[in-house]
Amino acid sequence: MGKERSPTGSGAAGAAVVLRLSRNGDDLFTSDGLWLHPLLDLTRFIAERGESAADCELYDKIVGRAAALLIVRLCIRTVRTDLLSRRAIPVFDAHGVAWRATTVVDRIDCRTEDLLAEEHDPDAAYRVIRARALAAQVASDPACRALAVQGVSVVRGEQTVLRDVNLMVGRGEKVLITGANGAGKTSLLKTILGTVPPSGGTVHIMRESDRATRIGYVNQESVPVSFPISAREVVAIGVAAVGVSRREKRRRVQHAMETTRCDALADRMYGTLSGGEKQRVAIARCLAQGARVLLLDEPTASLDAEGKRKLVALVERLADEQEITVVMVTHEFDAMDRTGWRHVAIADGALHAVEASR
Amino acid sequence: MTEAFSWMEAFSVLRYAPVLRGFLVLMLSGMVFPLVGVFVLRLNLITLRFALMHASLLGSAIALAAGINPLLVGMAANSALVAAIARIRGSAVRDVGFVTTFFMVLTIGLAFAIIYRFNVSTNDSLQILWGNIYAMTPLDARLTAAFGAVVVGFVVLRFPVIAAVLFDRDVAISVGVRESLVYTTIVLLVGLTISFVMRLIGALLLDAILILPALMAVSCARSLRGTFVWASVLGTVVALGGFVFAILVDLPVSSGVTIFGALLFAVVRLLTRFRFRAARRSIGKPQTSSE
Repeated sequence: MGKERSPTGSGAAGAAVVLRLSRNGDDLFTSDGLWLHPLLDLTRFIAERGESAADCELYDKIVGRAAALLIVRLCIRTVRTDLLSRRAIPVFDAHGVAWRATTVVDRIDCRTEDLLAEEHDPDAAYRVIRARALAAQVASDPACRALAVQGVSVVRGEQTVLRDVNLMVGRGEKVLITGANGAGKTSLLKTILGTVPPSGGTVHIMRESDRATRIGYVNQESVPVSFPISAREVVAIGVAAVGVSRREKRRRVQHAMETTRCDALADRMYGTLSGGEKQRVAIARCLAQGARVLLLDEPTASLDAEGKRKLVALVERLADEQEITVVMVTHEFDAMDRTGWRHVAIADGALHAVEASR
Repeated sequence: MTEAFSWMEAFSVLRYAPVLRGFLVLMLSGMVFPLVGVFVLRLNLITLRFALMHASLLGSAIALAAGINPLLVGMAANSALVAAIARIRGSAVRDVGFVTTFFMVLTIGLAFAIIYRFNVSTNDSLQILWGNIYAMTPLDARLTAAFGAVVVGFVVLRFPVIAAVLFDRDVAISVGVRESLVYTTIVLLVGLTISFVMRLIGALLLDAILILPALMAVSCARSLRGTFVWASVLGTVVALGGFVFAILVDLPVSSGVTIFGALLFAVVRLLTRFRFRAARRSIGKPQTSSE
């Protein structure tokens, strides 16, 4: 690994280093960022390098339970800190992390620390922390937004379907929109997609290039069982309007199907697949498209409990690993693990925040 | 030897230029027009197809009254209807079915009013309904060939975007396909195909060439690409088999094509039902369908 400063801290000239990853005395990564951002940046740094940090030593100025869970997730075995929360010690002990602390306190005054007081799973903790970081970034920095819905209203006939809806979604953020049937969930998604024109307000989508729309849309497609189209052809729809060679299109389709583990379904008729298989194929179609924003319209409606769990896990994996933004609408969310999701509800055409990311 | 002789005799009619021309146009139509039938089935354009048939009838009635080529005027009438529907679909009025039904009724009413008012002969009027492959002019044949090339070119070269539009409108838009343009092109092709097929085998028997092969193809194929291939192959079989059947039993070709197509359709349905039952037995339990 090469030496690097995180983007978070590089702007503050002369600021004190709050986090340092070193190997054999050589600094590999330093940061002077705030909150848990240095550890999130370090996570990205290690993921990009694709190397192990197991033989490295980490200095972190303050380590609470949230930080400890992130450190464990990075497989770092040696930690040094100025201030350590007692809530972090069981996490280090459980994962065999050697730690040294100048001062140990009962708890650190931090909302995230409190949220994760009972959390043991480092991956779940990572999702929570990342969601909170994204939500904070989106609120303060427009450049972090993948999607901005501002003052959108939709009127159909004499009925107001959406009323002054505002929704800012950050890159890689996962947003769950719930509401009763007919509350306006699908209308909101279709307004974002552009197939339902808003009566007022604007929808701004982050575009990575001028040519591609980069919005992947997964719905309950109206393809009857009797209509023959193969799963591979459905995934290939994702590259229908992409201006690349046929060879590149075939490669993208194959890669997307492998990523969603539906390559074995390639030659089967789409209409004969199970609900879960269809949704995996639909998500593969979005990946082949190169979608950076996934709009999921009731994707779990026809799935059993295990199917729902697997689909949500797949979506979370894509959001976490590829920083794909996910907006999912559903009326079935009671049994869903909403860890890491921002949850908003829609009722009578208006959007309401339900709870903070947890 | 006697049987061979009757086959030879049956095909000896191809020595006559109008018969040969009609036969070749029928084969080409059987090969190409079922591709358009796949669009009609998947996009559920059945009501629209009736409106286009009636518009073509109106065009033919105007042409007969004016003494000009019915095919060209029928094509013009259908193109005008497609343009109107495309404009309505793109506007705030989303209920295209309502407008289509309106045009369907209006055009057939106008067609029969013109036939009555301008004293179009009964024989000519019936030709609109029954068609006549031997009445194809060299211009008709050239137009059919050129249009067939356009249809094949569209399906082959634009297959990915066609697949997107046939799959789901919202998905097509999400992947960047210009759905309205592709949909309008498809409807235009359907309208023009109807004009050609009506000239060939008439309004009443149009489905034998347009829909039946596509319907059989949907039963046989396992992919969209395969559906187009099967539709083309089965359409050719219907056209050729119907032509031979008509000559052997001394029927008008349009009737022969339709009867042969219907029989082949029944056979294909039976075969696919047997295949479905065999698949169910191999699984060992009933399958459920979410259709």
